[in-house]
Amino acid sequence: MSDDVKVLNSVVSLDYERPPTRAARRYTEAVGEKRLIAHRCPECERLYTPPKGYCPVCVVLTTDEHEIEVSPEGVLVSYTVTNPDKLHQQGGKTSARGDVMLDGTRITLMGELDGVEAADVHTGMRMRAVWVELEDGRLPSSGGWGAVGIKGWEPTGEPDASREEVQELLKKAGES
Amino acid sequence: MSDTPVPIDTVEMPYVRTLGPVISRFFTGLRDGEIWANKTRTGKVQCPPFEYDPYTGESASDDWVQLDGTGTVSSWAWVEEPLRNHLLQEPFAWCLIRLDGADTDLVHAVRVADKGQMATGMRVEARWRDERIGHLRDIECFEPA
Amino acid sequence: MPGLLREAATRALADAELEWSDIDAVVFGKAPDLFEGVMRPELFLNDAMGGAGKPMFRMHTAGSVGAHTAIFGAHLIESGQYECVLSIAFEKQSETDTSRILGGGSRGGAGVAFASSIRQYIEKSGAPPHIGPLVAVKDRLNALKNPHAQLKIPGIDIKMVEESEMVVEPLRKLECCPTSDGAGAIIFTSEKRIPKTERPPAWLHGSSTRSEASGHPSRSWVNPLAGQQCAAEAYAQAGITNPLEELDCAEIYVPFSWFEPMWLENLGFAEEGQGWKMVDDDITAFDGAFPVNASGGVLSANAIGAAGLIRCAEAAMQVRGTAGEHQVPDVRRAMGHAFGGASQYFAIWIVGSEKP
Repeated sequence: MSDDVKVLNSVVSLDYERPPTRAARRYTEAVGEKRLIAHRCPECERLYTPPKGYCPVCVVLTTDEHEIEVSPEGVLVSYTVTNPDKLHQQGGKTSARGDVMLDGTRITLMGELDGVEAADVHTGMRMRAVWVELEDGRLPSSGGWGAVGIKGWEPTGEPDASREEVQELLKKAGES
Repeated sequence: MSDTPVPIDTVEMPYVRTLGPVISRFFTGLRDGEIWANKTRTGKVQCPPFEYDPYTGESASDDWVQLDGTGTVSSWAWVEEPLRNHLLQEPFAWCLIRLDGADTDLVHAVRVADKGQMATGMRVEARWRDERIGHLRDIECFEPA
Repeated sequence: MPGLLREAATRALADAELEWSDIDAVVFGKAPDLFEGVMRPELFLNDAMGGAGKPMFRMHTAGSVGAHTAIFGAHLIESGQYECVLSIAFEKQSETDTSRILGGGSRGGAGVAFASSIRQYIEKSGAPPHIGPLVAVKDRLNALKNPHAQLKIPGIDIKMVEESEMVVEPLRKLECCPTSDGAGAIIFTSEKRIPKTERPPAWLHGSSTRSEASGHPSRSWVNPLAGQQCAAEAYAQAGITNPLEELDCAEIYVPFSWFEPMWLENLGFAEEGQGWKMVDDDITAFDGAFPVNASGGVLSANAIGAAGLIRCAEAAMQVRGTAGEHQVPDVRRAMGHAFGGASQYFAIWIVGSEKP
């Protein structure tokens, strides 16, 4: 019958407490100083940022002694322009998001591209991190798949990497 | 660094659940102030009703019976400090209630003046809300009969 | 949720001409519990799946979970532990706005990450921009032949895709999968318990699952190592050295159009950087030499947790000759494939019409 009860409305709401690890605390402190830290695996030399406290490939623990500072600047190797109406993103404006490969590493970090019109975004651009502001000494809560502690990326204004250089970087990214 | 505050993340999502024909009939009944149960093919009366016989996986029969809202407490657990989402915001008992005429238990809250009144085997009856929407909460709680 | 699962299970039982009581064990899969807001729903769904009094196992590997659910069910038979196993998977995305979960909020989520990796593929391979729309048209045309496909767009063509709204560059709306409710079920038996039906069984020739190192920042999203390893193991088990020659069709997890050429390379059907040419040459079309996603694929229905199991089931239907209007002629061996998470879980099986 048309007036039958066909649905049940409910809201699921849960609070989670997440005590940070030592590595996470040091990472957060570094973000507050606009520095980017990573752990270098003593066996395979892969870099992890934020530091995980272990290398999942070699299954070895990493600690403060494996901590190094990496450049918060790099080259835009890929990007997309989002339609916020379709992706349910807060803020509601069309925005570009991209992958920046950090200088001297094989790390690509995803984030919003700031200070450049979506139509002008192109691979090879030199970018630097736009940092998030800490709230009471901790990173604000945020979901999603992007970089941690880095709001996004803005152009440094330096000359672009060439197409060949970008190809090299992409090749490097694919070397598992 | 030991005084770093512990971050609290709240995960919250709204859900709209489609009920399907069996649970829809049960919830429609609740909205109308009625409690309905269905029978398995072996004649067992299930309240709340299911689409199936939980013990065999076989589909339930189309045979429905109306229950009258009185029953017996099969077991209970006392809640001294209700959580924000609990049915009652005063101390109460979560109960398994075997409604008269049913072969299974319904989980619901029982309100009593104090814990000393709670007992397995006690008789209870449903207290209905005046405004009902088709939800298990249309029964505000059960009270001693 | 119970109704959705039972619809799939009862159809599978009817197809196998078996009863609930014939099932020895149940393997259940779905993607994140957040999608329906019921933590560990197997606790209450077990009875609806006929699992009471039987062993029940829950699988979870995000979007690939359906294929893992199928493969684990097969393993329970292969191990000799059980004679008849029900693998069943579902997702009911309509319970909430799952695109809000997957959208990832202000930091961007699945769509952004996948779109960005697609651009990496395009830049590396030099593929022309019409490849994505070509895949979208092909799968949607195939969906018209499949009674279980959700999204049916009669008369779809390249122009319609290219004029649809841009969602996340370079993906337009018609290059993206829909949100879906759905379930799938597969029944496995040992050789001695093969049901005596007129419809032949599918035989498992090989299977493999692999995961990537988690949060490994320099891994490739375009040609993930785990996907390559997964395919290599499945081929080795099936005795396949040239997959394009030795398989007749494939059901590959393609939630966004460009994943077809990417996965054609990852799975060894094409050399690196060449997958888009197979699409461009219509090799993967329904009447091509190697049809991919004859069912319409994930682009035509993506009940996430079920979608991988449905890829495996569709491959099995092709070798059984029971795919109906979307049956590819003369299929002897077919692949079912799924990936999940941030391109980090992979599951593949190869089924055949003959006992291996």
